[in-house]
Amino acid sequence: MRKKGRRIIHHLKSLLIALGCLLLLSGCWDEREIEDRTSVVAIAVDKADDGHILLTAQIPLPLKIAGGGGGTSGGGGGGGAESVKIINTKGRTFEEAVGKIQYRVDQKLFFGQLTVIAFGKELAKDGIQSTIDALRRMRQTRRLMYPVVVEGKAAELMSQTTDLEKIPANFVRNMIDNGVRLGFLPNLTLGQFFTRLSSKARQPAMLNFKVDGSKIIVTGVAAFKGDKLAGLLNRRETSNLLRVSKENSGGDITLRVGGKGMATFEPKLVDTNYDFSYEGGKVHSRIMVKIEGEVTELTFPMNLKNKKIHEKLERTVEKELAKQSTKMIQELQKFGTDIVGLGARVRAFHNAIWEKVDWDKAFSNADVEVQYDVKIRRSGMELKNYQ
Amino acid sequence: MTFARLRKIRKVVEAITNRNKKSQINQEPKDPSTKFVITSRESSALITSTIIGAGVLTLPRPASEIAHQSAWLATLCGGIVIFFVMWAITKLGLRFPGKTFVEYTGDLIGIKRSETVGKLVALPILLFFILMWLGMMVAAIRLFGEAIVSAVLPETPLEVIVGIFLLALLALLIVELEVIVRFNEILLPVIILPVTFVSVLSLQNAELTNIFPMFKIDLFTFLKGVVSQMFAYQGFTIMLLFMAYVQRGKNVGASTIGIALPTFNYILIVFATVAVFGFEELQHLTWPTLELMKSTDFSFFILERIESAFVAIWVVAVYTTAGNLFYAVCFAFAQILPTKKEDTARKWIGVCLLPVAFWLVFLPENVYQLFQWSKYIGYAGLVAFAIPFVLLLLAVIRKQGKGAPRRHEKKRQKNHSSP
Repeated sequence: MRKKGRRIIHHLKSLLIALGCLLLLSGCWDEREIEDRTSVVAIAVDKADDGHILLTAQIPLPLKIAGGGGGTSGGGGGGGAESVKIINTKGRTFEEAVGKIQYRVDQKLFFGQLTVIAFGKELAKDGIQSTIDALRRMRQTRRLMYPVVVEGKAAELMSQTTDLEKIPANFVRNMIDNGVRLGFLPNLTLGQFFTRLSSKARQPAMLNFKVDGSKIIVTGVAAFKGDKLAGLLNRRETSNLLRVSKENSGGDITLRVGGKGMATFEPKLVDTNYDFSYEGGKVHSRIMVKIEGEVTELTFPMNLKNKKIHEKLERTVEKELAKQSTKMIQELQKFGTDIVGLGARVRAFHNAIWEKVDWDKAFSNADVEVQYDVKIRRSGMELKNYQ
Repeated sequence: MTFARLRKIRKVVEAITNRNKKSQINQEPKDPSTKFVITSRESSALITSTIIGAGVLTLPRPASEIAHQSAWLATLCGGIVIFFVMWAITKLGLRFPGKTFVEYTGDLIGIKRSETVGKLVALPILLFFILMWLGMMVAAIRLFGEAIVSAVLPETPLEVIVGIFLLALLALLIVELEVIVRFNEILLPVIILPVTFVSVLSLQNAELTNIFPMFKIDLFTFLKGVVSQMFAYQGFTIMLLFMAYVQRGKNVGASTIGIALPTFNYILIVFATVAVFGFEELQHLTWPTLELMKSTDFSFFILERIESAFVAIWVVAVYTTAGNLFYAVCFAFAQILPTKKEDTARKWIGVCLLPVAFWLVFLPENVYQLFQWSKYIGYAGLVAFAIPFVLLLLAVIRKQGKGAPRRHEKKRQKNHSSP
């Protein structure tokens, strides 16, 4: 009898465990299939006439993207315009405007694929604190996405389609990715922006874009002071910024050599050194940039094998770059925003100076001197051009 | 020729293995209440996996809040202080082999004539530890639940996550201590490797300017930072119980490794987050460690977004922490109760405590209160760190349990209990 009772209990136990396992089969509470969500890949934020926020969202249409290439043989290339859907909403805050998008799509919005967030110049000048706050709190956003400023309306960047990429957001992202890899664009991610916004030692910056007709062009860097746009740097200044802030090579440099003609130089950043001193209520800073590289073009005959001529060309490049970089720093001092990271270096390595000054003001008054040390290592596949 | 040789070798091998066996047997305490020995490796794993838990998700923020750029130094110093506490616990355990802290505290504090007096005086101390462990377990579960809900599974109710977690703890409770320590040993790599991996990889975004000046901070502020870092190491106090079963001879070494591993891991994660974000940005982040993963490019690693995977793996780390603590709570409770069937008592206590734990988990009304209360538990922990030292001092002064061979110990016990 006892044995039988035990067996029944054993069976009951097994049944209970089996039923318990049944619970596990129901899957994830949050499960949501990929076709049950609407991915937003880019968002543009503009200032509306009445002071509200104008939001433009870019949503790729998977069916159009997949079928566009092979389906219509004639107009296949021009299918770009239909491969994304553009939705405009308006709201008093960023989140309110985002919420309104949901009323116009059938699936749940998903922001995990968000790669570009564009701010109109007008809005950026007024400050983007509220948008930044919302982005910070958002669970799905990545810190590796790119925030950009667009001259004019940011919405234009959303609706602008190119033949090179089906999804405009991808186009912008690849453009920045490769610019960073090639060395002529700074890697300014959203995370970078957040970090610099909370830091007292370095001001944030974004890339600056322009939409001209059907063209999307990178025009340089937008320097921020806090959350407000302080000024724009053009492309040449941007490449100097990269070298001075020890981030990248800054891309090719074309310059006039004496009265003879032009030369193009492809640099590789080696090192940048900083030296700070504090005298007479003013911070003195010396920046030494070391670069090396090769000559990629000469428009006039020049014998680089000759040591003297070789060195003369190096000095010419040094002088020109030092001039450009100093001008760039002066421009930033005029904006009153230190996006170079001089403040961060003062705080880290010359803390005694940092304690004495208020860097926000000290940067504008600082005496900054930029020096270059250029080494021309080689001159491409051509050793000597026609005399 | 060769056969003879082989036989000879075999004999030697057998002799060696026999010797090993013998020495192991010798090391085993002969007390009938201890059925097994925790090896030194297992005890290191037990300490490490109890310390490393949900705290890693938030650790860098409090670390840099006070100590700023020198946060990782504060973590290191915190670890060193903790090492001394661990040393005291180990020495105490060595003095009373085969006896847990529940069993010897009464003897230590009480008077020689009556055992009950000692037990009564010891009771508040024991209860304090038990409540602290329970609080730590509850805080770990809630913290982790919040992290899951806010980062990975926004639609899942917190109650479901916590409920399932607590039920899973029950599964750990019905097995014996031997299984627990092996469980900890097996899972150790799962706890150590992810943080190491993530921290080292994220250093590609590190900026030197974020970690200098390293020694600018004044001493008093720095010490405050060290104290706040010591909160992160709680949990190892459960060794007051389990040191009783640790293999004799290698205890100090095992404890050192057990503390060194989490210290190393903590330093890595604090250093990486401060180097990547800077201390100012860290104060804005609710879950700095998850944020670190969000800002690091892992695209070469198949998964581009690794934070969900990390949280999934991290369930294990939190499970070992909460599991060990819960086990310690029920184990100690069962030992306090005047019963011989400690195993059964432990299980029933666990079952009864589950609803209490569930209620406690939802006691903090929001995340802010949770962080605040975790801090209070941290302060309680500071008091708890002092107690092993006091007990050790008492043991030395009153010349109790010299940590001498077992025979000696037994004689003393006999003298004590024979009348």
